[in-house]
Amino acid sequence: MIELIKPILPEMILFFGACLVLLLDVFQKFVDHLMNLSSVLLVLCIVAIVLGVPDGVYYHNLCVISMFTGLFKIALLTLALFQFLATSFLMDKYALNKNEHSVMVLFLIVGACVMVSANHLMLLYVGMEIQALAAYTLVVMQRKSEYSAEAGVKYFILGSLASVLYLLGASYLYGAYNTLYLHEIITAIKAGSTLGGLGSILVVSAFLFKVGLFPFHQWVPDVYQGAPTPSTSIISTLSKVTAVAVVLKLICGLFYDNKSLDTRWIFSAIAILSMIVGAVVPIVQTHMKRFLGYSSIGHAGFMLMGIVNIHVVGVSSIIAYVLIYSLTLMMTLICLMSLKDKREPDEERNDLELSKLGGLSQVRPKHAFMLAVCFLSMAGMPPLIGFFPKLLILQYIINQGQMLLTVFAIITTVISLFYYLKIIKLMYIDMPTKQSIGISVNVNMRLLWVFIPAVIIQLLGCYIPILQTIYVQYVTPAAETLIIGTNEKIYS
Amino acid sequence: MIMAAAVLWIPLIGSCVAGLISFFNQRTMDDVAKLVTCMCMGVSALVALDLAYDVIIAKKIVHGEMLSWIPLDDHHKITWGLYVDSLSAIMAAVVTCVSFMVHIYSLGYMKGDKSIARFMSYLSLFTFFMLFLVMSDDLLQLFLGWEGVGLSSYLLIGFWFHKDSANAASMKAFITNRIGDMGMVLGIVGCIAVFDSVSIPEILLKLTTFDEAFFRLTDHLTINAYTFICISFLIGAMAKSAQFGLHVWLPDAMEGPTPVSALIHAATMVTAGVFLLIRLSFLFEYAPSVKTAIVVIGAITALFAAVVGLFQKDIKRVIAYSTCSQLGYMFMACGVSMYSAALFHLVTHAFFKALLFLSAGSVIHAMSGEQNMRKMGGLYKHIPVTYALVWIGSLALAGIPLFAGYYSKDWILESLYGYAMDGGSIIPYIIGLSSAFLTAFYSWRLISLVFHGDCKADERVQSHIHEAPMIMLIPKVILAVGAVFSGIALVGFFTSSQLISGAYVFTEIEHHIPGLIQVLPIMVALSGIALAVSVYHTQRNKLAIWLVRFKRASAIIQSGFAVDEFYRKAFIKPLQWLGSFLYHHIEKGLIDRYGPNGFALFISRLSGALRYLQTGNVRDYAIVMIAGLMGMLGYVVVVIK
Repeated sequence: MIELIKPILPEMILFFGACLVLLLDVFQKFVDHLMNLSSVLLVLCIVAIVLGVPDGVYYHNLCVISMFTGLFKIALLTLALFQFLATSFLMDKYALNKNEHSVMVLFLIVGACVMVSANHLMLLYVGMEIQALAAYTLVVMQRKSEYSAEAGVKYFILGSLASVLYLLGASYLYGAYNTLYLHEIITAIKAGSTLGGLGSILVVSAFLFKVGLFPFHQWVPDVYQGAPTPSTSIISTLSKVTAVAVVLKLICGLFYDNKSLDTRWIFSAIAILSMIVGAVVPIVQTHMKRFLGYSSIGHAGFMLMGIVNIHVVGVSSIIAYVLIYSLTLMMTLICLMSLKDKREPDEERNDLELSKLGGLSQVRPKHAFMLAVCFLSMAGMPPLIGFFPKLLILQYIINQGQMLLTVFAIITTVISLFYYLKIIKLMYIDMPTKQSIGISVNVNMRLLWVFIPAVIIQLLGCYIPILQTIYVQYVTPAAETLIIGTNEKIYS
Repeated sequence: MIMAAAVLWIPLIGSCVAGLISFFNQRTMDDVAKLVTCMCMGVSALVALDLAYDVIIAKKIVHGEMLSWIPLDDHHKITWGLYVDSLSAIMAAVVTCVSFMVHIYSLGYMKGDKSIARFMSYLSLFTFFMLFLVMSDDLLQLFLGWEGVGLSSYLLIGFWFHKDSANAASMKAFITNRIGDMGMVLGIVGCIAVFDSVSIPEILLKLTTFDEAFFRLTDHLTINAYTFICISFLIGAMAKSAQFGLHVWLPDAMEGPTPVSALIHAATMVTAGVFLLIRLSFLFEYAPSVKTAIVVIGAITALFAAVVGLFQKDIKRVIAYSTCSQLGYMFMACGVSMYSAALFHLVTHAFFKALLFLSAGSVIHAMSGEQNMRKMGGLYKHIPVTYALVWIGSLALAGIPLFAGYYSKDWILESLYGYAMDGGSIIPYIIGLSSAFLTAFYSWRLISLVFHGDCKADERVQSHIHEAPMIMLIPKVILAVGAVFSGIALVGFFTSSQLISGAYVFTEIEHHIPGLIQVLPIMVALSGIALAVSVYHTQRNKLAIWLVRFKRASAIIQSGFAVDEFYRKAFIKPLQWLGSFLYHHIEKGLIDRYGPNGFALFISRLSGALRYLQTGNVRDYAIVMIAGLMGMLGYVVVVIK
């Protein structure tokens, strides 16, 4: 029995653990400790993955366990753990049930893990829907806020549209190749057929939507802004990491070494247009989360450049980029969360206007410093860690001779530097105004337990060997399994 | 070696101490700053005298490396070195002695100035850089000292920075010297190109192996390398030594405190150009055409400055133009290869010019800051010691026998006569004589206007007239001793052959000088004195009538033949126009407007436009999604298949 469930033990732990949390939530007695229970579950899950089954395929080729899936699952769990630990004392300020919130996060991770390891288009769809339903729920968690509801509905409708596209694509592929197993499609698609080409584009589009790339990007700012900040943090990081993992898996599978389906121009165009949107539109934004939403479109475009020509180096650069960017974005959002002083659900939509940050360095220097570090890291300033994935991707595309992409990447990076610096200027040079946030009401020393490790992580860029070790030992092999995994070797 | 290093570095220590005191604004420590700088300078002067004695008597050259500077490879390394031959030793002795006197004098002159520590620091720094210049063994190090001297002069001329005129004058001095610096750089680069070295002894060694060298400008146009290098160095020397054309900064430099003027004119700044010519004399001997140019420039400067000096109202400007004129003599001497004579005149001139300037400072001090000679007069009763000292200085300047200036100037004039006899032009000699006449004239004009006649100052100033304190008199008396005896004491030494050891050995031809020629300079000087005395004591009314009649001419001469005005119209105005054109039309109108600003405007407009795509309406979002998807699918269907 235990041998049977061993490959999916992590998912099982999360699923039943989430159910347990849901049940215990009914009894008022445990309410305050349930978030800790969720954290324990996440740790258990990480342990289960590390000690789990050897790499291979399980359940009649339905499920793949490899370096790649392990890396992404651990990354997802670590990000969630970071959020839980950092925000457990902040959640009371939001008009939402924090236990339901953590349960939804756990379900979201279950779906994400299923997606990452799925080798069958229907299983992938099931994972996608589990993950998406949890995400929709997270967005509308603040029940009394109409903005939250609006964002939730938009996300749901457009997400449904993406599901439709996915199912359409899957049916095309089935029609073309008579199978839904990914490895069989991958083998068959090399022969080339228009139906198969259309199907694969449709399937990938659904996940481009999840990543938030042009032209499927428009939900991003609305949802980021409308959702309560803890949910924004989860959606913008966990969902994005999962979606990037699936996009990598699909693109590496479907388009690698595929002479009949040359998609380079499509992905170049998407990358360039996403970068332009992500560089230009944030300049005029006045809301912090909206601003971050647009800039995340730009980052997604930047990442996508790494896969225009499919190669191990590009894939590992993207993995490094998405992990480091998600971590930085999560730090930023946690910092924004901790700016909130009291429970005021009605002002949720306006509580993060940019003008509120005016002169922040004078009233809350710790927050201002943390935000400045995060923004500089996102802008790609050495020695912060945000610099290195940008460097890797640029180096890769230059080596690949993609000069058009390089030019756009550099120009848009420079423009994005402008708006990140604009916020730093707002915080450090401008004087506090009437709209600005005042001095903190209750000084919380626990915040330093979050900020100090966060700054240390950001400054890891000063000590390159440790980054290099992680990159060489974990990220590159993960990328290799993805490319080599497309061969039929490991499938029985 | 240790002695030479001590001479060089001790003034810097003083400068640093005073500079720190000034930097931390410790007014109570001012006395420490004064004491330390003066003591350092005194020690340096004593050691420098001892060093000069050693080097000259023992005829040895001190040459050593201090530190590595730019190590390129085994054969090309530039080091911080010291090179002291008799030339450097004499220069160092003169510089430190005069500077020491000026330091002591400044204690009295600058008494009560609230940033005296800064002043003393700058004075010592100035001296240090000059010593650095004269003791360096390679051109690059020399250039560093050269620039350091320029920097210190900038700081000192603009010492009273709250005065606009002082700021303008300091900038003028600095910018004019930049032209010379460019010449220096070109010369050094030329030396590197030809000799593959910047070390002066090495260049001297290699010079014998290179007969001719050329720089190729185009395919058909070549220039003799030595001529090019020498012209470059000449431009550098002209700027530092205020030769005609690049002399414009010198009169304006009078904006600085008087001790600074004394230091600039006697020891540290303007002599650097002459020093350069003497130091690189071996190179100039290979470029005869440049030597002729030196004679011409020196002659023009000597006559021009003397004429302009006649018409000045400001007591310090008279002496400033006199310096200019005397530097012309030194250049002429260099031009006719009489480097020893030039150096000799430099030494004697240092003494009597420092004396004159410090005396002028005393006069200004007595007159409560008044510098206009027309408002002075009859001062000899009130400040007799200064009066006597000005007489000594003027007699030395005019070249009256037994005074220092006689021996050196007479020697230069004899050399010029010899030059004429050897087939050169007689004109330099004539100009030298005329300048000597004018020198005597304006010196006694100064004495007559300042010390004789009726005092034209107002009551308040008159009641204040007083002799300078002892601390200002003693340095002057010491300098006066030098002004009287340095000539007679050193003449034998300078005329002995092979003074500039280690340098090119010249055959200094002994000429037979007719008796009349020997007496002529004295006659000319005496007649100048006599004329000045007669004009300013008996014929003053007539002079006034003449001046009114030739008002325009005298105004032009007074303004230094309108050289400044010419530069303003010929260079400054067009350059300003060009700068303003480039700024308004090219920089702002073209580059900024269509470059950074245009791009920024484009981005913000694009941002505004793209913003409208985000309607907030789900239908629109869906349409965009589907449209994008259609594009991609269309690409797959149409292009790929």
